Amino acid sequence: MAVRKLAAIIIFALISLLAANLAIAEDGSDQPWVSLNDDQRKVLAPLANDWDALRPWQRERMLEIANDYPKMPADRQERVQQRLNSWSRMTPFERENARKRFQQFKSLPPEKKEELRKQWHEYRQASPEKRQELRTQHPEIFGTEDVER
Amino acid sequence: MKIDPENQQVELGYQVIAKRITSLLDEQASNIDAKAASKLSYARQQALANMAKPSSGMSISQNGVIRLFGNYWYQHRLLLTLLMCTLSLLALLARHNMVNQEEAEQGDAYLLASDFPPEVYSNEGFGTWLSENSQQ
Repeated sequence: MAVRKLAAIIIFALISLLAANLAIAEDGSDQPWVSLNDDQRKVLAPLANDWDALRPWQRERMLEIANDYPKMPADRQERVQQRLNSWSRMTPFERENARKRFQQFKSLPPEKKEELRKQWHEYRQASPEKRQELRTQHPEIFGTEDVER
Repeated sequence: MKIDPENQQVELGYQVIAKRITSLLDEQASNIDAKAASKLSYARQQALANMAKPSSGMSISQNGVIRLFGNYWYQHRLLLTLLMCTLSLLALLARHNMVNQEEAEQGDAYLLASDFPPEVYSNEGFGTWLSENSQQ
């Protein structure tokens, strides 16, 4: 009898655990713009007009960005806001590739990362003509369009 | 092979003693009253029935620790199965949470806040550049 009672308790605990986990997984995937809190709206303001047209999984990703945002210093927060719009307009394929390459970049040797940062710093300081020249010379680094922000 | 006559004598002596013991036991057994005989018969049946019980589960031996473990498994198989399920589920959830944490640290916000605009990361040529430079 005691064994059966214990078994019943374990089954109940398992079901509760699964239900709780599923509830966490689905959290925030289908929220209209009006249901977001002030902090989330402030971060995601560049997407205000497009928010309700986004798919649930896109909203979930954007809400994750809003959750990570307060953990960042001010200069990085500014970058996030500047880049949100173009990020939301990229295709899922482009975003997935970007995520892979971001991870790849992080695993580069420190000197390579520094070299790339330096090149980008020079690019940012350059005149429009010089930028055009750099894009022609190094399309693999600066792309073919002026995207700097 | 030559048999030692002295050893042969000893062996014959043992056989004689064994025969005497057997005949004595038979003689005494025939004198046992019906009540005692019934009790002995019942005890024998119980012993045989216990021996015939299947030692299921993981028991692969009729004695020792493995048999004990086998019997334990047989008696508590439901509980142990549930326990194993619980442990597997907990391990799965722990792994899931760890992966989520890793993803959180590598989330899109960090990509957007990185040194380069997201268009750079989606550039096919940049992917090639990264592959070449990460191999060096």
